[in-house]
Amino acid sequence: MLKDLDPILHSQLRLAVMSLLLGLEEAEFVYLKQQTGASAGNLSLQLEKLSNAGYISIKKGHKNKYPVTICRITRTGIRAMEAYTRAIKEYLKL
Amino acid sequence: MQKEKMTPEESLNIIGQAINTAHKETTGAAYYLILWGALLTFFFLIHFIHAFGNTGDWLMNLGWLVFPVGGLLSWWHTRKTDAVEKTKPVYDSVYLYAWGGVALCLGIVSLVTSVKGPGNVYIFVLLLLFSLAAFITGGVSKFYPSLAGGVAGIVLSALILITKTPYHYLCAAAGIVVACLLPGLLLHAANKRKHA
Repeated sequence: MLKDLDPILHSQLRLAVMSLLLGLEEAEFVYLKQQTGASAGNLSLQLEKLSNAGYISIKKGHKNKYPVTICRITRTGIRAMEAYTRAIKEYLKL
Repeated sequence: MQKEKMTPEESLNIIGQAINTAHKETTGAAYYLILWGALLTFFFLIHFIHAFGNTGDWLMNLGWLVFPVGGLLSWWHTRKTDAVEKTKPVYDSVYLYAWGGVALCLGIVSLVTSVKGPGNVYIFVLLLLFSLAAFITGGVSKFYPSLAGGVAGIVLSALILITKTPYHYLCAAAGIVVACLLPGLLLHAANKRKHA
């Protein structure tokens, strides 16, 4: 029987954010917004869902006197992405 | 971009595209490799010219200036790039810790050799550490010019121990070119190609 796909990751925006963060040490909110083309409100909401699931950590601070939000993938997030890609491969019989 | 229903193919496509985008983010290491590579090559070459030909005293006396100049330019560049960078590529920390470790080791060795010890030990240690850092960062980031430069630098550092005095400086200059300056220039060119 095929595994259920992780509902937190099985969404276009959340999956794109997680995949971007997988290839980077950290990324600012502005970068994720630029790369995904999402609206700020929607992206905030999806980042919060990922953060609540423990898949990413969010750090808020200041840079050049402007507020900045920095996102980082966690170990739990990396493991979840690995499990998700394994499940996808099973679906596609790769 | 928000759709809950996706096919496995679409998921895989999103993952692939995002990872490719993230991989286009380049480390800023090329600038520091070129800067310090050029400054140290110049520094060792003027030492070689002085020791070999017994000329160039005035240039030799100005040699120490490469360190504050390099430090200032590095600090200025870091400040400038930190203000605009929105991501931290995955190999940034590897470069930071490898080259930061080299700087720390060289600081300690320079303190000890300035108090007591032969000068050529410092040149040997400097090139050995530079080459090791190039070898490690090149291997981890799969940037093979740096890996190869590191190996060549290690060989040249060993030559410092068996050659006579003026040639220490020539070996050091050649080692800095292959382990630092050349990989820096190639990394810069590779980064430019990635963004083209």
